[in-house]
Amino acid sequence: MSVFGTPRPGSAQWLIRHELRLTWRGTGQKGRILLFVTLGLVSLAMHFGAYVLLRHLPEGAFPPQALYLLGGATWLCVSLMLSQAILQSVSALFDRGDLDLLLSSPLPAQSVFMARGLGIAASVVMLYLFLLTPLANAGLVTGHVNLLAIYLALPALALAVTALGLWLTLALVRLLGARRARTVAQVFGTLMGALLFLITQANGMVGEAKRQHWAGLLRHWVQAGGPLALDSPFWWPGRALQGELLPLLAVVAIGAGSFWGVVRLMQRRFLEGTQESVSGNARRSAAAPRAGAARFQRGLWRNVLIKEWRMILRDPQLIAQTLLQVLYLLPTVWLALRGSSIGNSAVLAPAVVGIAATLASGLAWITVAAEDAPELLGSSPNSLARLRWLKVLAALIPVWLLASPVLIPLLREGAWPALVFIVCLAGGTLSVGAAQIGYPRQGKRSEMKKRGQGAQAVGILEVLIAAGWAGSAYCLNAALAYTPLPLLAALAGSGAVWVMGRSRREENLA
Amino acid sequence: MTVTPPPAALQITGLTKSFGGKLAVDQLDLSIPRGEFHALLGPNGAGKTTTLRMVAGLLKPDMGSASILGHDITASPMQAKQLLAFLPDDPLLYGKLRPLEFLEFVAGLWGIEPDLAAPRAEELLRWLDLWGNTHEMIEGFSRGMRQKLALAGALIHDPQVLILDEPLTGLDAAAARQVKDLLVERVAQGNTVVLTTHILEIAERLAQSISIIQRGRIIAQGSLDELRERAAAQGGPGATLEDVFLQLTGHAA
Repeated sequence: MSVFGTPRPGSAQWLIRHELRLTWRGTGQKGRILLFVTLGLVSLAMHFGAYVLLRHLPEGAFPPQALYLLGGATWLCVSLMLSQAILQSVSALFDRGDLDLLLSSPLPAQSVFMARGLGIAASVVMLYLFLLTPLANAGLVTGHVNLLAIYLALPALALAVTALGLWLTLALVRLLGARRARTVAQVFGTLMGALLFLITQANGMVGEAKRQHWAGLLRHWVQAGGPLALDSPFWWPGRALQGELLPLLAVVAIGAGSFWGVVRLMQRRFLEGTQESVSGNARRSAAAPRAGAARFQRGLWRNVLIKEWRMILRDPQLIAQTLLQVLYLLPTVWLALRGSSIGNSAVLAPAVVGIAATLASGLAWITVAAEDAPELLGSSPNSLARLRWLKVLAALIPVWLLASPVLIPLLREGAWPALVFIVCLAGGTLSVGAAQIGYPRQGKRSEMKKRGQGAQAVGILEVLIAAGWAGSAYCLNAALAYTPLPLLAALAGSGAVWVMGRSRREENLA
Repeated sequence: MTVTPPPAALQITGLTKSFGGKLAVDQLDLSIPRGEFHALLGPNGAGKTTTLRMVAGLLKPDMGSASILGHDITASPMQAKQLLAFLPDDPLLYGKLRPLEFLEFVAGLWGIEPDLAAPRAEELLRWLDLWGNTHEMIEGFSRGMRQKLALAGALIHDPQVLILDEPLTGLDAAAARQVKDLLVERVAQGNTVVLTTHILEIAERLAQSISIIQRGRIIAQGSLDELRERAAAQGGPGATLEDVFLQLTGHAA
């Protein structure tokens, strides 16, 4: 460290500062002031809430019920942290393009690995520090000084979780190779966050008998001598957060120890994984194909569809996000079906039409707007409109296949619900697909999550279109007289997108 | 009986394009006969890429026209594009495809029969030393490998007119030599090659005719000898293309 407090260039602290700066800048430049003012106000409100909450609790240690609650919440946070740590590890290993630069410098690889790990831990812990530190600060006023342990326990948990995330990712690289590991880790990390969401919804999704059974089991487990009794190490992370000395020491030791261990032991795998991610694992093993091995397929349709499907299937981020969308909507469908007294068709058909249209919108954006080589397509002897429709079709066919099993329960109810479903599914998905053609945009696959930026109105219209067709499916089954309302809304949405995109379409050569 | 002369490989007439009021290409005229190797030279921002993108049908001209072997790129784009291949300066390829999958897709775009395209793809990949990399995803390729693969994509449909924007950027000496040989061979077979380059030595050694473009207009055109003569008339004898270029573009020392 220099006299002015700036770490010596090349030192571990200097690298860590670099990682933290990148994490900080990753929060985005636009609207940062507004974001921080909002967060400041939210934090202030949370401090007040924490103060009110803690004032009602006795000073010192919490009662058992509060401890169970805190312990459960801690495990939930740890799971979400792990999901984030895995995703961040994938990004650190595969997506950030600066590892070549860092590893080709005379810095020890271990320092680079450690700094990267600490950067992941920092980004993982940020949200939870924001959520929990109001409790620690308010505790100073309400006589719960022990809660200051949050400042120590939470980073320690983040270190442990980061160590596990790095280890899992690198183990996957070893087992599956860089490319497959990336896919699996990305999907696993994303779905883990979603599974926790599903667990939180489980209470509403299961029947009363099952719920009673689970509650009884849980009561049995938390009794003295049970696997989840209050003195069980299972609750240590929660107890560490509320400042109990032994659990706190254990959590800090596990966090620091596991992180140090992973940095020491996995350093070589990290280097190998990095090299593999750069060079591609196929390069190691695959020999040149034999002569005449090239077999091509005939036809523009076939070629475009196959190319788009290959690109979708080989994009782990896209697969993860698509599955995530479906998973998040499942509880809603489930709850709607359980609570429905008017048959499957009235709830299932609109729900699936809505989900399918949302999915189709994302996939069509990927295939049409996020085309990697627009110049190649533009210079080919094909009408751009035709190519774009083929690309929309490539996006819609998987969605139709995913949605098609719904026809089975609907057909049991009769031909009309099935017909309504087919028409509305086609209408909804084709309309959002057409929106990509009606309002041409250019983006990158990696920007799928942010695809609405710069075209918010079109994004809103796409939601309106999806909701309109879902509403039409509902009305056609349950309230026929009202059908024109959602249907007209959907058609108006499509028309508006088409009008808004007129000048953009004219800019593109046909 | 009057014999109609064969249409030029590339005929540009009064081509004009502006961006936000700034004129990028200004009434540009250019005619390149069949079977010629033509180099389009110019300083940065002179309008070379904009011109080529209009010729390839990627940009709509504000005025004027461009024809490929008699087919107007705006009026009959399909016919014109069928005869043309355009290789941009930084070709974007599909990272998630493998080389053969990429070439299969490109062949499909140009409607080439699989029986013709597959062996041609193999031939091109072997010739460009990429056959050993056919199992890899393109995302793992180096800049030079991508450039070579893009060139293979441009050649898969055996175009009669090949338009290349800085095709040698990022290539090592051996690969650059391969590409230069390939282009010369294309011209020897009667095809036309139009390229832009910053490496004047390439134009000097390969091109049969040269155009120099500045501020969106052709300021000089002819064979290397003709340009030299012109430079000698204005300056001194024995000028290299670099001297000629710098003199004509007003950057002479």
